[in-house]
Amino acid sequence: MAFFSSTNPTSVATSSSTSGDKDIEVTEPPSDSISTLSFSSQADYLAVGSWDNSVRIYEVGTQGQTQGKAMYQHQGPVLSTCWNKDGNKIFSGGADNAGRMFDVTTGQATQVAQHDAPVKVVKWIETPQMGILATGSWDKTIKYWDIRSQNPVATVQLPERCYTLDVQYPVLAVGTAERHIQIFNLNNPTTPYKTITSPLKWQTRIISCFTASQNSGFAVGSVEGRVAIQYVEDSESSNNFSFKCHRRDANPNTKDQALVYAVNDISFHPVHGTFSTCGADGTIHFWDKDARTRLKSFEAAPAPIACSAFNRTGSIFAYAVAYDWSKGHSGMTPGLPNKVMLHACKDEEVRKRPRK
Amino acid sequence: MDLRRVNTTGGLAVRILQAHKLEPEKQEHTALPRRIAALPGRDSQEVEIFGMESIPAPDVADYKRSKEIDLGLAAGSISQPQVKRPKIGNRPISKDELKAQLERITTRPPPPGFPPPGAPETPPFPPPFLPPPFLPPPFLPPGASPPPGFPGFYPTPSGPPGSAGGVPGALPPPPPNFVPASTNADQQPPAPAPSSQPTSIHAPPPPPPAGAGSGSVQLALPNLALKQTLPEVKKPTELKWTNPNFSPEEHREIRPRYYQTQINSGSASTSAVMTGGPSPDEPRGKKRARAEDFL
Repeated sequence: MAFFSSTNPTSVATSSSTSGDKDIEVTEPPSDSISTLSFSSQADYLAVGSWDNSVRIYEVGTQGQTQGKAMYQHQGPVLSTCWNKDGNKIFSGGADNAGRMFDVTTGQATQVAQHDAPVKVVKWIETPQMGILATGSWDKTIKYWDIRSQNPVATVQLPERCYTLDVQYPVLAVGTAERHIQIFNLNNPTTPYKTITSPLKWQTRIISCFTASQNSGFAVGSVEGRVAIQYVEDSESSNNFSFKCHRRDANPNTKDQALVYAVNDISFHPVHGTFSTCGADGTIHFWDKDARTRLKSFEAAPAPIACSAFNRTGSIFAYAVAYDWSKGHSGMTPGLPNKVMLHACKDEEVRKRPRK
Repeated sequence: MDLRRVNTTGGLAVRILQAHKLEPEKQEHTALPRRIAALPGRDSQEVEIFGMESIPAPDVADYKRSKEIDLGLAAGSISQPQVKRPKIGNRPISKDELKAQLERITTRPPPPGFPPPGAPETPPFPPPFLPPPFLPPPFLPPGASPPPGFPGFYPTPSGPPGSAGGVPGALPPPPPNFVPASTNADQQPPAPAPSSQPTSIHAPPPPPPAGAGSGSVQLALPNLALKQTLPEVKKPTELKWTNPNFSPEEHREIRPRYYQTQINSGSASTSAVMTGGPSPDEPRGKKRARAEDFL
């Protein structure tokens, strides 16, 4: 069952005529900047983490209408959320150094992970044997947790603070401060399969693994408006490339693209393997890495786009217009928008183009 | 019939000479520009013009002057070379230079026609970046009640420190229909899942080590020797995030507004402001929190 629109073109036409082309705003947004979005892998439920220490869970209806369903708290800002495979548990990591689990069937939140510094990323790993929670922290470790046990199954020492982490089983890619990137084969989750320096010369902001791809790899986004496509295996390295994005002209008369914004998030489409980038410049773009083309550009929002997510079928694209601290404390002006928007993906926006 | 196209008169002459074995100068009846289409005084084959390249300078000047006359512009507005933008180095200006500049401004009137009207305006400094106007904040109007059928979001009073690992005590039970439709909840009763066990087993987590948050709200590099610097840029750019050693989130997290809650997790006074969920008077509550932050 697909919401908004299915891959069937006829229903695309009908849904766009009824709901219009405008993106829909999620009701009852968080009271401080949104930091993370994630959709359930089973239904159209959206978990939203924010700097007001809370995780809110919304139900998204067929016409994009939203309803708050539940909410739970961290003791510090929430930095990351994810769902388990069955869609009945939500995990979150926060600046209270804790990873927490919210059971949607009982409404209870429990602490399931502990670090010595804020937990920047939580990711659910569905291995053939069992589900494992991976947490990456600024304490320079990744910890793997069996949520039934109090202690981590394993701890991996990273070269630097974990900034970003993504999993596409059996590949786990982690990006740290100082531009280190480590790739793990989850059949051997404690030893890096490969350690590289980021192909980009500026601070790593986000790493996102390919979906629906024959060869495993990932996209890296940096603070210098640039994204690199990087394959895991050396035999594929000829396909590696990088491109500029999220830049603006310094003034309307020049085409210098001199204002360079950070790439805040990269989300891969679960079915088509195309991806989105969003940046501190308030824009979002859809790209096809194989045809090396841009598929769609959104109109610039009046504030940075902090994070983004596709739902499980790729019919809904959620993005947060929220302050990302890209201008420091002085950029935190009152009245800056803070909202989650839902975009109904049209097939031609996310489908791959024929390779040139 | 010769279908070959040539670009210049010289080319045509060579073609006539080589392919047709004729002397171009002597063939009165061949369709040479010199004889048929050339303007008076422009019938020389010596001038080789290719596209817009190599037009004789006097002819260009003549053309521009005639344009000026046609358009009624001041003499020199087109025909004079465009005034180059003064080079601005990113360096302190010495006193002597300042003096010279001041003298130049005060003593000499600006040259006529400066800058050329046709030239695009290029101010030496780009105007400051102006964000587009903000949308109205997406909040309920004060006094508006939440829409009916909204069971979830109540402000959850934060429990005492370490209460069962941070389970909010007064969390409202979720609505009964909050089981995602397509899970296999039918086959698998939700309650006795093994994961419910740790709620009782889980001891409160050990408090974070003192080093993680004892007072200092400065970002400190774990290893100063590995300090990163920004690489050189090839062309002048304005990088928006210029700290190579710390991410925006790390900077934000040490702000007092966020940092206190991490350490004094039990202090209800701060967390009440921080963790208050949306309520009918939320906009006011939020503003208060922000005002506090600015003071």
